[in-house]
Amino acid sequence: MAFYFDHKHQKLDDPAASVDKPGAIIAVWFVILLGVIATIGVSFAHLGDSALIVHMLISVVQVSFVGYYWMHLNKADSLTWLTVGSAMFIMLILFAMPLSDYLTRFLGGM
Amino acid sequence: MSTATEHEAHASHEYPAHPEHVSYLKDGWSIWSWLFTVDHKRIGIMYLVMLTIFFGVGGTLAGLVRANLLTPSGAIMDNDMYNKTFTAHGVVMLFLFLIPSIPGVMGNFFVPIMIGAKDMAFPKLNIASWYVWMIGASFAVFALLTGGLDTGWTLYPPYSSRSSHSNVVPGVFGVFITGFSGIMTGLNIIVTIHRMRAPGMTWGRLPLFCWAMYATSLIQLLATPVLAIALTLLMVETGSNALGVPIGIFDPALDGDPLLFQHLFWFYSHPAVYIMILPAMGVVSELLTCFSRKNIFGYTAVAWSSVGIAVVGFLVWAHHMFVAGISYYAALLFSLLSMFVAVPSAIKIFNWTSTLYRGAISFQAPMIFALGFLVLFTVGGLTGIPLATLGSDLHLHDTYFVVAHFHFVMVGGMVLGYLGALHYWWPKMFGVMYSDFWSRIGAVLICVGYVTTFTPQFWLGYHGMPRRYPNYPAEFQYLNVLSTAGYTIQAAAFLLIHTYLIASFFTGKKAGPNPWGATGLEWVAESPPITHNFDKTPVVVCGPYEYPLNLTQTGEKADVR
Amino acid sequence: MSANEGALKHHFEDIEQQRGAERLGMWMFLATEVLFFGGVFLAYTVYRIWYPKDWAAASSQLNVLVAGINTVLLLTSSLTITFAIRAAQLGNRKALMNLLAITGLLGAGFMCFKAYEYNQDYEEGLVPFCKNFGEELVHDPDDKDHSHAATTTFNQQWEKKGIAPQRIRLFMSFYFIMTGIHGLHIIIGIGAIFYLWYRAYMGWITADRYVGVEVTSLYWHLVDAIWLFLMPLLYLAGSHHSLHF
Repeated sequence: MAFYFDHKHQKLDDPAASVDKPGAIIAVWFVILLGVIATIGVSFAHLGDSALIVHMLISVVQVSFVGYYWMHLNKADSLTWLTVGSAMFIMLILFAMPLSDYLTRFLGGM
Repeated sequence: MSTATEHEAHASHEYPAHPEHVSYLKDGWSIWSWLFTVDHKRIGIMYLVMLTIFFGVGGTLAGLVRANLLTPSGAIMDNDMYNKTFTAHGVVMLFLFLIPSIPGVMGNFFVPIMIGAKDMAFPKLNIASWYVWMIGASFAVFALLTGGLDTGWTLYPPYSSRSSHSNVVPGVFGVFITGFSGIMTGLNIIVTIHRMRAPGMTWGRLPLFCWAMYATSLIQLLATPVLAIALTLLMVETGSNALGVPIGIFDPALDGDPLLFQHLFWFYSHPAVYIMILPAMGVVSELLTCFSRKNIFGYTAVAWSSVGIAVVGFLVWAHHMFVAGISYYAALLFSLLSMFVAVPSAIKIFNWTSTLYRGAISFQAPMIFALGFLVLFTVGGLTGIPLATLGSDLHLHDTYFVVAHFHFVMVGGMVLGYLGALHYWWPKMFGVMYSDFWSRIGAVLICVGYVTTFTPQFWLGYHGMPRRYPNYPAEFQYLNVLSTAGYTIQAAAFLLIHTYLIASFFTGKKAGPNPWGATGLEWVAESPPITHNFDKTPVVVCGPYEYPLNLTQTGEKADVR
Repeated sequence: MSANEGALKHHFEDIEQQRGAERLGMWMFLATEVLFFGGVFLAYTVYRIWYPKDWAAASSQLNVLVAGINTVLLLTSSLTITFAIRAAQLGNRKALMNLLAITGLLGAGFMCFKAYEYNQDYEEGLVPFCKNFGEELVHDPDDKDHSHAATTTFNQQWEKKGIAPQRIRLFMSFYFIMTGIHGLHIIIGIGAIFYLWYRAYMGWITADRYVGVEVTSLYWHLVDAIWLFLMPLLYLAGSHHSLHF
């Protein structure tokens, strides 16, 4: 476990060491833009109910790109990932468990 | 050891020069030096002052409730006033006392000292959290004073949004704002514990109070926002009804679902009860080890059970909704999960009992509070099991059994933990010692009073007396009178406690750094601590409860001094 | 190491501890924001499951073109703020200021389009809190003569299709609440960005004090991410025949 006072092994947080490459930043923008076009396009494709699933998949991919590249999760330590993971886990519970109520009401007459 | 000296040399080099070696209490005398402080210790004291006031208000409201229940048909007020009184009691006690109490006072004051830091990670956020809490409290108190709320503290729509003609929006807004204060404190504590531990303070050497505060802060961070959105939606609906253009987010008459509010509300409010109890459990770990002069039995189990309570506590909220109309299958799932949440709490109780075994036990006031916690929290917890069981909950829901259950865990658990913490850390916070004799009397009296108040309520509930009703059948009167008598004993005990604590400022003996001979880092600091807590960054060499070795965490002797 | 000393706050031991603390603090705050929006997303989901027809009908009345423009604006502002971090890290004060200004202006543009959109919704009688709900004359998409003339009210159209007005009211409430809370977050973000611009202007942001830009960008990216979910859920829940505007 690293202590922050371990001066022998201290990583100096050099600002210029981990700068993003401009091309990478723009590439992510492009990918997300494609997603926006796709999402709007899908709603014209008369998919009905399954349009929601496609929309949400595209959104998840877009947000993953934003998080991983633009929010620097690719360079983040495990504690940051743990924070993101905890939030996602609690969100999952917030959705799954009330839906377990809403989707099973009056099932089988009970 | 050269590394240690390097640490010391470098660390002491970093501290800004302080003109005198002053305690935090003497570091600035003006009111502005308090109102604009960023010192976590002063902020803790500010929380303490306001919390004491709010506890007095909530306690007085409790007295009014109990006084009204002396006769079978409302002894001192009409039904509408009674609704407002018990709602006020709930709102004040929960949001203005229980939730902020130990985190606001002892969490703020002691977490940085216990980990060997100079302050919290975000000192300005800390003082902001106090102001945000005061703003929220102001709205809530304003709502309660200008007509009150008659919905119960649970604020269920559509009554609260459509039919109640009371101060729902300002009251709810006040609670909404206090939620942000909790998030800010929780965020501060988590980042502090992660990033600001002194050299040698591994997670395995962290005091169990810090583990408990960490778990509490996790819940505050992740659960409170859901309350915020529930209250926001409620305010929008109530506002729309007040303006004559009703929308029915939770109103079945307009195709809404009242259970949606309950899901969002209890998603926070159940973990909220763990926000209340976990810090008290952390305190008990500190007290039992110190006053039985023993290391904690099963440090890892007790530490991780705090996290376990926090995690499993997120999975059980719909046990408040068993009879509200949720699906039968969801009810089965939540009932099963509610059984699991008892396990980490039980692990703690067993480990604490084993800590006591063959210890050198002394019965000063903090210990009496801790032992009272052990017994009374166990009773409270066990009575949760018939509530978690679907079949029996059908009979017990919304009766006085529930009221007794949660008061046992909240008063017998949380309040005893808070008082124990106050008594244990009083000499550290203020540098004075209170009367040992009167404090023991006070502690015993509190326990007696509160058992007298709440035990009859189990009988009342089991025999069917509904909660929140001012009327009851005549044959229940003797139990209600007994309960009110217990309240009187509690009130006397609280007055006694406040008297000798305040008297200690004037006539109390000056306390040394370690009046209990305890081993935590806070007992290495002076009483009261200097503004930067330590002269130089402490280096931790051993665990937090090395009582058999008589060592503090910096390796010095843990003698009384 | 000595270049970092000026940025070090007194209660931290060294700059890496401080930066680590500030980043972790912002990520935790973002976690609370995710849960906050998550609650209202849950409520939206419950009613979408219960009232699919009404949800689709209401959603198809919203202006997809404006939503698309807004998405691109927000996306581009996230791009520029990411470049702003880069400028701060490289000590490029001019670029930092320009990029922050563009980000703020793009955010403001988003809010302008939102205001236009809200106004359009009011004129079409789609604001549930107003007395003209459903009563304005609008174009009926099922109109046989394709004249695009505003001839019927929403209330009449919904009655024909067997859709309950109070459920449309419910959807529109969610629309205004969700976009309203999101818009509030954008406004706060714009404020933070202009505060950063001011600090850059005063020369207080140097290469070793760039973390302020980074944590603000984390917040801004989250607001963008939330919009990326919000947009399809609110605007694309129904089928569309054309980008009407």
